[in-house]
Amino acid sequence: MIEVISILVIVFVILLVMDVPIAVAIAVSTMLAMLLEGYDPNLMVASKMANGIDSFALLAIPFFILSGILMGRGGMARRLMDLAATLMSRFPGGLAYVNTLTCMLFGSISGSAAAAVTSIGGFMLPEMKNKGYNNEFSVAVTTTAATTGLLIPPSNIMIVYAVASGSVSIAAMFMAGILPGVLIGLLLMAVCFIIAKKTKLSAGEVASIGQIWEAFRRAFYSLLLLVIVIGGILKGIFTATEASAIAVAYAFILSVLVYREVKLNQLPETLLQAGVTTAVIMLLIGASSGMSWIMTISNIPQTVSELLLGLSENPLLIMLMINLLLLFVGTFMDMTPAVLIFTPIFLPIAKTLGIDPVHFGIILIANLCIGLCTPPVGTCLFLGCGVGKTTIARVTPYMIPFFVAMFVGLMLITYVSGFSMWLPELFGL
Amino acid sequence: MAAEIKEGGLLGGAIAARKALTSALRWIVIVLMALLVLDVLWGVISRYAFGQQAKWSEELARLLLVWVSLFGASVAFAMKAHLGLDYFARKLDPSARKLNKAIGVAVCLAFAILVFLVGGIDLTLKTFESGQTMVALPFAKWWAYAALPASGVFMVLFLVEQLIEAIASPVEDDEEVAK
Repeated sequence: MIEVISILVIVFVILLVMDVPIAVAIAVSTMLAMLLEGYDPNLMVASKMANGIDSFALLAIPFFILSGILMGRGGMARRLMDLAATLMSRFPGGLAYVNTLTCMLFGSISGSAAAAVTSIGGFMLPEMKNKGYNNEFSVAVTTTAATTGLLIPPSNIMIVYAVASGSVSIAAMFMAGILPGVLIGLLLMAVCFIIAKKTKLSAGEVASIGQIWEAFRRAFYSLLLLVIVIGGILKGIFTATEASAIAVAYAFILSVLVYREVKLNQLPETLLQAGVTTAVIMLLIGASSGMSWIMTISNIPQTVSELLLGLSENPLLIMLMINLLLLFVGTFMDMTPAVLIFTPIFLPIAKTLGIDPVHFGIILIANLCIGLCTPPVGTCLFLGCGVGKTTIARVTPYMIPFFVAMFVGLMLITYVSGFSMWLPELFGL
Repeated sequence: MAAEIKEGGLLGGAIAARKALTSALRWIVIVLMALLVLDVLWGVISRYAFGQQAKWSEELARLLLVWVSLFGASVAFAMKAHLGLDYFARKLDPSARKLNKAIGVAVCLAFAILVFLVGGIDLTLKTFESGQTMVALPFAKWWAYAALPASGVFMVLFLVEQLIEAIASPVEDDEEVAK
């Protein structure tokens, strides 16, 4: 078994460092481990790959990706921002709150932190620069706030986790993410509040009730989508997959027929982009299902579990160790592969400690959200620096207070299970 | 970057062939995605309109998802869209970076040949021999797996082309700027 672990880890890390696509790195290290254990690696990985993708729950992923792209291009981000602006620009440093709230709303609707950074950052960063905000501070706000959308449903990464864990309901994950997502959003706003006071940021105009109503009316149909998707899943009217297909139809009608910001001849390209993004995630899922199979066959999760539990019996301490390890992994690995690789290893430990799989999933995702914003490798940080035309080195000092806020949020989410479990239990999920 | 590459015989031909292949494959993915959306929407509508969901719609959706994913995976190789970690590779000096790139593409090529072609054909034939059929669709089960070798042919061609490009192209000095 020690040989299997060594092969998996060494081959995977070497290929990862060489910039081989992560899915290929997972598949190749898995194949060598299978060879060692006496299985036919070609047939085995091919079959694990095809069967790993063949799932009705995973169907929600291409649809949420597609509806996210349609909404990003279809003018919904702009409308949500206008609504947030009428509500919050009146406060000192108001645009920082507007940015955070818009990222929460749009990140939630589009299910993608990357889309939130580019769409919201594209509008907000020039606006904040015009109003005299420090550009690096603005990039730090956008980058960190965008990740809250991964916790607030609907969220593709939760579907990936639900499938990887094998036993968790997507509806429960969606409900569980709401409060943690809002909590981290509020903590980020608290950082904005302190910085606004310290650097004496100015307040914007106070919007009248009429203006707020007008902005709300314009953003209404974008917000209604959230209500339909979440409400529909919660009430059991439709499954997550059906809800995602309805979201596509809704986003299509809104962006192509009503707002007319997406042209019909742009649709093939939109479908292609969604298809390729889906394929990248699915290849990772397919390859990981092979890896998790060989790990299970060789008792690896059990061994890691015994090892960790041998170090300490204290659940608080073990969860801290798992969190620190994941924070380290998150600095250089993207969220989807990290969830796929570490769910089968750490979930059994969490279960042993009496942590609900739903709660553990939220901890895992909240943790890896931080990794999306940290150098050396952080998708959101890269995109944020690109949109804000600045460098990682210049933004990093401004990120630090936000990292502290996210870490505090992570600890609260880890040790106060109510944040995650209250809503799912309330709805009997 | 393409302008830097000499449009010589082998390389130029390979690039032209890739363009035609990529375009064909893109349309396969676009059509499959469109069918997928329509199929699942039809499933929802039929459940409400007729009180019962057509049994074939879920099975077809899963088949389409497998096909979109496996064909899309090939497009993603052509577009270099697969997730990787370029942090360390970018720190290498240009000639080491070129070698690293060539080895990386060769690993992907080995993966494509072994899993998508060899494993895929093996799996398709075994399922074909077993005579396994789908539950509600009038297809044999091997149709789902046939996407592996079918997409694998494209994947191998793209990767061979990229391998030639990685070996034949001059050492790049300023890729960081392009990034």
